[in-house]
Amino acid sequence: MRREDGSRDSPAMTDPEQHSYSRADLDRLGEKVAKGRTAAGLDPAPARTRADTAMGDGLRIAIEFVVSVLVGAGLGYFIGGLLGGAVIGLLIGLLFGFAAGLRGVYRGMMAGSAESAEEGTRDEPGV
Amino acid sequence: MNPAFDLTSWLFSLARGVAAGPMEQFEIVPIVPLSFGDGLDLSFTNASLWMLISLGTALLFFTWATRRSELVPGGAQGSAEVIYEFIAKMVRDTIGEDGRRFFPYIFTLFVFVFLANLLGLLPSTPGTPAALHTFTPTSHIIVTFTLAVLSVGIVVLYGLFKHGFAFLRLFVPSGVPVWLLPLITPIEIISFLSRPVSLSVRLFANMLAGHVVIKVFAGFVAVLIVSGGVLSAISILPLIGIVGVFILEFLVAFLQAFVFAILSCIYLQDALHPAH
Repeated sequence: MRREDGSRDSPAMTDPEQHSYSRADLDRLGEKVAKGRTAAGLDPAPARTRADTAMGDGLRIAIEFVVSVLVGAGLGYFIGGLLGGAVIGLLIGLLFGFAAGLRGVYRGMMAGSAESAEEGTRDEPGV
Repeated sequence: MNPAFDLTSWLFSLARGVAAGPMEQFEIVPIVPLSFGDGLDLSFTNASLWMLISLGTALLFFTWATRRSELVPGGAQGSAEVIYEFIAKMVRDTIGEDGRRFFPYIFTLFVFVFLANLLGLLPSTPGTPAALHTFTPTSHIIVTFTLAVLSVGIVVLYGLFKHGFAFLRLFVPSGVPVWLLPLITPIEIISFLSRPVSLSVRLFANMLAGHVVIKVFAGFVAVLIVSGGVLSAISILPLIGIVGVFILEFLVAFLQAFVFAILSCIYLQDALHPAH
């Protein structure tokens, strides 16, 4: 296969008569690539990703905030239970969870969205 | 027999079926029961079936697409290569060159979640038993949570293996005054522990909400059609809504798989470089 392609390519490069053939070949290849991209569902997505980034960001940060509070409260309740004061632990854990949630919101706002993280994370990891 | 009568009764039965409840589609139905009592139930369910279907689809597609590797790829090989390069670029951009070793995991994760999301959008055949209805495994939090715990587990194990106790510097951000550390460290630990939860909740909630919305709108259509008169005429509105939401669901299926994979990458980056 590969040898056949190679032998087809080399006259195209040396012989100017073959130029149009090679051009059509390239166009067909471009069409195939475009079709493949569409088939893989990769073409429309990146464009739309940026369009609904604000909504996605908001939801992501909201979920992280709520989860942080709940995990903090649960962890506090668990550790408090081990130490014999589940309610005190719950309250302290709730505060820490709230703080962790706020930190997550702050970090999320500073770092930009995870959805557009392809650009964002390159300068984000230090944050 | 009067065909109009048939149509009405058919619509009524359809309405009953559609209005049965938007949560019914998430019901776990055992296909091969295998219960050991005492809460240990290893039955092969519709969730297991659809996870196997996702896996089988991925295996078939990539085997078929790469059966004859050509220098100039055709349609199938081209799409497989696009997916490969897309994930490879994402891993390279988020974790860096030394993140290459995680590529097989991230690629598998993305393809599995994406196919589970996507195949869950296939229509069910009416009249078949519930065990054979289309099912979205990622609409169950236990599935997504297991995947998220796997990701975070790899982070912890690999981080400890590579850096030893220096990995725990992850919880001690640099540049923080010593007197603040008793406050900051628990906060960091809580945000680390909430990662698998928020990762799994995000995927599960998106899948669940999308499918519920489609089903609720479908209920509107069915009920409006059988109400007759003007109400039947405006049943087209929720139908248009279904089409819109359904298209959006394809985007969500891709986007959530992508977000799951990229957040796993960002967390794995911590395992490689714990000091921030």
